Amino acid sequence: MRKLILLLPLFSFGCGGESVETAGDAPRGVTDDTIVIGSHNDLSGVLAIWGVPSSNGQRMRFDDVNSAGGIHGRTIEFIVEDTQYQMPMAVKATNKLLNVDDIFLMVGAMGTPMNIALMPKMFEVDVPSLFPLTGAVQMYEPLHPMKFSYFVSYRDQVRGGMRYMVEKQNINKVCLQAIANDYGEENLHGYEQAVEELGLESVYVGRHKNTETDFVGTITAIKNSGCEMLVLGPLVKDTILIYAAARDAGWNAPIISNMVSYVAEVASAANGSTEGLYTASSFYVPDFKAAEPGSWLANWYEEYVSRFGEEPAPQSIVGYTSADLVVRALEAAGRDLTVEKVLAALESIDYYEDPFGGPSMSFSATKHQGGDYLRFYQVRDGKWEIVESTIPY
Amino acid sequence: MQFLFKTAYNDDIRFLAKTGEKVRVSIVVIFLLAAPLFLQDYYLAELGLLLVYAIAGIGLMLLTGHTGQVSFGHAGFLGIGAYAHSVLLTVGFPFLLSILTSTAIAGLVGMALGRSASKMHGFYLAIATLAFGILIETLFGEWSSVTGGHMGYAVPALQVFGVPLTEVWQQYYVDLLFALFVVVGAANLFRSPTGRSFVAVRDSELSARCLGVNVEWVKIQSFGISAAITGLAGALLAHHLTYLAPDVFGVLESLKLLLMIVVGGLGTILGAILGAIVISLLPVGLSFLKGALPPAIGQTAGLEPLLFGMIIVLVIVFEPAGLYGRWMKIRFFFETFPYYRKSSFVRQKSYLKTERMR
Repeated sequence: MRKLILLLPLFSFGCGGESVETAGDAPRGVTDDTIVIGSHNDLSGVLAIWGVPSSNGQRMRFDDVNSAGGIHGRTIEFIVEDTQYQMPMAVKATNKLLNVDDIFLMVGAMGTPMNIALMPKMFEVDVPSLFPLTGAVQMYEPLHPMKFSYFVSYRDQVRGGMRYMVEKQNINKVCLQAIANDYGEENLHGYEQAVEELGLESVYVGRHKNTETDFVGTITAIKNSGCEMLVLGPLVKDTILIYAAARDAGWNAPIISNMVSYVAEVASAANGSTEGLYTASSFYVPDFKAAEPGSWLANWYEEYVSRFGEEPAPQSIVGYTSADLVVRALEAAGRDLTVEKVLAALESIDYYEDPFGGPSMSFSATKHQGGDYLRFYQVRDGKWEIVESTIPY
Repeated sequence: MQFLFKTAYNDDIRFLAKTGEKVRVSIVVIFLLAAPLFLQDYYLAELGLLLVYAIAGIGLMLLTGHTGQVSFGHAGFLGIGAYAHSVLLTVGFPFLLSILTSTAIAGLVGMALGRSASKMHGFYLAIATLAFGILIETLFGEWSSVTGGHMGYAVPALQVFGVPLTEVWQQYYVDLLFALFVVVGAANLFRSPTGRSFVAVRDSELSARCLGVNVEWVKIQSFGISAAITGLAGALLAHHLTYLAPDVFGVLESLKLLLMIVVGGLGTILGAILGAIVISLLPVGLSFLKGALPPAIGQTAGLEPLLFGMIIVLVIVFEPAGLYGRWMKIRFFFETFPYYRKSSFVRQKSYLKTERMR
């Protein structure tokens, strides 16, 4: 009958309309034997290729914790809502998670616009946004006690990659080809910043829609512009198409991309058409096939395949590792859980190395994005090989 | 069975003719008015969103259900309403003026589209409206100085006459107010000459023209009113989303709106509302069902769209007249018990449709 009480001030003047809620002992979503963690993700929409493996990875880590007896006597209840990468669905999902499931933390929620839109709603009821599944810079900027990002932002990936290449090779004129959406725009911001910081000349900026498949015209324009390095801000399919079109046209300047292209599908594209593509990414995908039998990596791989019936994707690793960070923070926060303690525990994580061997991560009161470094890769013989394992951004 | 004895001329145009209808509508309205007293925030927010979709559904119903013009681009109008409202609020317009202006903007764009679409039929109309939808979505993405581009646009908080309405129940009443207004307005439209001419154009353009209806102008009007109502829904939707991005108003959203009115039952206001209930509450129901199922099934990715699709296919296969048609049959069964016959619903009157004569 809380509604009734809230309505009362309307009918009775003079009475103060103070909230009648009293602060309980335990925070929302935490009982004597459970911690409720929520997430919304794209499990069946256009970005299901990201959403499904990532939420699988998270679930795997949380289930491991539960089968090992939980955290300080509490098991984790992990609730994932499907948003199909649609804004109204995400609003509904978040409403449900916050008001019905009473979640304690939001972990790995999908999508830049969804997270930007819904974070204020979460913060209103003291639910932190941990490691959303997007590399947008708004996930940790401006600094907010409840915002933590797993990734180095797309913007900084572009900047880091460009700086590395410019310092290695004598490059003055650069160009960008990015997809026409929020992610492409982030890339554009990073590109513009890097151009300014490094004193480069931008000779061409192009945008494309994700339905475009013919890039011959684009490449001709880039070629004619005298560009010496092409920066890409695309998704998976268009990375392959643009790269192949450039090499077919006999244009051999370096082409760099960022973490979205860092998937096996790009490296193993038909006829080696992506041979030589560079990418800067804030995480690392080990070669599971080459792992020693019996090692942690090989066991993990087998368990993942037997549980979900498919090969782990890079996003599974992201999901698993971000869930691992949450588990660590929960463990460090102790039995008397509060949101403040969990956040403080996260900020105290220093030089965390994920079990897959990716770049280290540190958090502090002023640094809420995990990655300390970027890693620079190149496609060689149909595989991603490390060019430089730690580059600053 | 109840027989209506008309004793006054007004009996012909009364909104609710039968006692049963009056009782049912009153119960629903009382339930909606009292909902904040007993519903949790979550369910109340869902109900508010449902009302917004019902408004959008009535908008599209007017065009597709009543005038017979299919539209695959109505999410564009939803978006125009949402963006115009948010931009105007940011500029400093008060809420009411902003929502009226954005409704008018959507209506004008709708009339412009109607002008170009008024001579098109069937597939051509479908493609034209689809193209319009895609065009508008692209415009939202590229016109970044106004719409914030792909990075999106933050919607200012809901505030009426300087009073912030941020509580869920406050926003709910705003939605409810507009929804009731639109329902009554649409019902009123259909007893006016304009509304009747919409139906005439749907049933036979040739006959309508013979009766002196200006078919092209009727279509332009229909597009305009439909777009305005959908734009109004968009403006209200903006406050639910709190953040606008171009891909919210893509082709998928247009299809969802169209699906909504087809499942609900074409050609009735109740159909649009029933469709909105299905579209809004089915995902909620499925989400709770998922929790109740064993994890092996419940945690499978893509379960919701599968069930969602199945339910819609079943409705369309077994009840082409939509939920409204089923409701009519159930009601008729009880009202005429035990004289219900299947053939009662076989359409007796049909119009000759000659493609050549359009």
